[in-house]
Amino acid sequence: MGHGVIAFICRRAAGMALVLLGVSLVVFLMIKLIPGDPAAMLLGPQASPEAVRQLRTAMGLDAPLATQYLRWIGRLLHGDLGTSISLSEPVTTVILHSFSNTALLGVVALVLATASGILAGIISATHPGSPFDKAAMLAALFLNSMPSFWLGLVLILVLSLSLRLLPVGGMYSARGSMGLPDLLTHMILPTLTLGAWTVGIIARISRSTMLEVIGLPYVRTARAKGLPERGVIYKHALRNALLPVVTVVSLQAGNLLGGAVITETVFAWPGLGLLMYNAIGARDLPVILGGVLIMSAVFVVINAAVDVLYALPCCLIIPPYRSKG
Amino acid sequence: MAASARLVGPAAAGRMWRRGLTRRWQMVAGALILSGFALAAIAGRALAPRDPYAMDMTHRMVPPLSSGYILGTDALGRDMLSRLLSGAQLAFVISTVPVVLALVAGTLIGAVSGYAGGAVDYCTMRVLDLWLAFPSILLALGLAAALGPSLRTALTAMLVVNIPPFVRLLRGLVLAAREHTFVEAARSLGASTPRLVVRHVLVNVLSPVIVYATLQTGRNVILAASLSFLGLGVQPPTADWGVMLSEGRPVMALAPAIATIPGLAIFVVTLGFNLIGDGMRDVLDPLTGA
Repeated sequence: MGHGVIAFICRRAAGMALVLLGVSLVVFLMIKLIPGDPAAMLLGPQASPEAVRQLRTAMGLDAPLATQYLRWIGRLLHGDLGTSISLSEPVTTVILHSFSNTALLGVVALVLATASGILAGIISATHPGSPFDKAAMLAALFLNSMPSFWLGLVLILVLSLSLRLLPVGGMYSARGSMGLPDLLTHMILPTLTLGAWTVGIIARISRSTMLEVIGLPYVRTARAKGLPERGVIYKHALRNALLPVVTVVSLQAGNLLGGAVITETVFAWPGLGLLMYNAIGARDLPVILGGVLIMSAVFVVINAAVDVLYALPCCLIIPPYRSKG
Repeated sequence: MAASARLVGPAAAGRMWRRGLTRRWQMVAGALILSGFALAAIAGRALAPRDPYAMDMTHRMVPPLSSGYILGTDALGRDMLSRLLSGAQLAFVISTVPVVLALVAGTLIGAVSGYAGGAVDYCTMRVLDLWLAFPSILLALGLAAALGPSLRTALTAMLVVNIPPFVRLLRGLVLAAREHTFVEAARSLGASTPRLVVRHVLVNVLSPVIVYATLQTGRNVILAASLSFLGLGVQPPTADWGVMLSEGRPVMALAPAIATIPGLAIFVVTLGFNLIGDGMRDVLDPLTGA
């Protein structure tokens, strides 16, 4: 790995750290936006002004905003996000407990959506104007116009309540084996719902970038050399067409994390999204804002990782005609 | 997006709009859907056959096309058609107002940043990087949760997530446009900076901005409904499409129409905005249209 790549990775990591600091500042300011005095709310309406004042001092709420932020970030760096009001447990514990379920759903949805989106995009681009192309692009447009909570409800209505093919929600059946087949059966509908928007957007982007790449002179040269069409498309054109698609996929990670709140709510999937939804109902702000912070931080890290991926010479997405340079 | 956008003169843009409107079925279908939506938003309350808030416990969960109720009734016996028509106005306001305000703010910030360049541009872009580090639904969710659920909160949260993409788009377009010879020519003729930006640069970047604003309005319909669905936006008993869908969820097995009809309305209206937006993009920039 060259010095240039290492320097780029260091610069990107430093940039990511700054953005993460900024994200923490925004979430801190959101906490400060919450109307009302936290000390007065904790003590209740019967509390005397003196007791409220003492608690405010004890909680450090009298300190300047910058001092409060530094104290908050200090606690954050030690993994302390406060205590959940509704669950009476540390926010970090409840978030970590549920995050793995969200990650499982998100990763599976992203992988399946990316694979099927790219495949649909390639077939559409190599057969422009064909019935498949028209149907795929119409389907992509429909998927990008569909609210995920509605799609989820319709899937439950048709596949679970009417046809009784798949479970309505949850992660395992109450009387099931708790094994992998049970988990996979429960994952089908949430994965479809969560990945629907992403499939649509990736199929459209893949098609347009593939169409652009197919028209480039180096692809014509590969064809002129007598290479089989499959080799031209998958070996030469696809690697270049993937560049913008990878960027879109990394941006979609944010949509999937945000979308998890809705999908998990609809399917009662016990992840961070459902935890946040329940926290909204209970006005449990430490959990809501902790979830926003963690999900946004994950999104920032994913985007930085994808940027680094571009810089790695061993990476798949470095185009062959450049690497031979 | 910004770099690929083509700059066209008003006359050429006019010709392309007309050609696009008449030749593309997407534009026709989108225009029909949005005309219906606009009509429902303007005259929905007048057209509603019943009071959208009047409960009738003797006619609860009536299925569509029965007992004089075209779209049936909800779990409290309220007329679904009247609530849907009444909710159209709210959906229209909540999806368009943040776009219009973000367009104004984005144009101001993006144009100043793109035209000034240097430290101003650098600082603006770093703030924007931070803003865009949040997935939009999460930023809206966090803000709405902090401010307390209400229509005003939903509008504020949506405005906050709508501004950054407009700033980035306008900045990119202004950066590209200011290098064009016609801008240089105007500058050499002594045009002032505000005149250059408004009369020569902004006028020429309008087309991609209108396309983006149209697509963003469609996304806002879904975002607003998502906030209502999660209990962070418009609150019951207001006749709002997201609220209606959320209210229909517990009785979905008994009366599926209560949840599916408002969801279908959200889908169709979003589809209308996407059809128009995609159609306009294809006409203005056929190379990048997906």
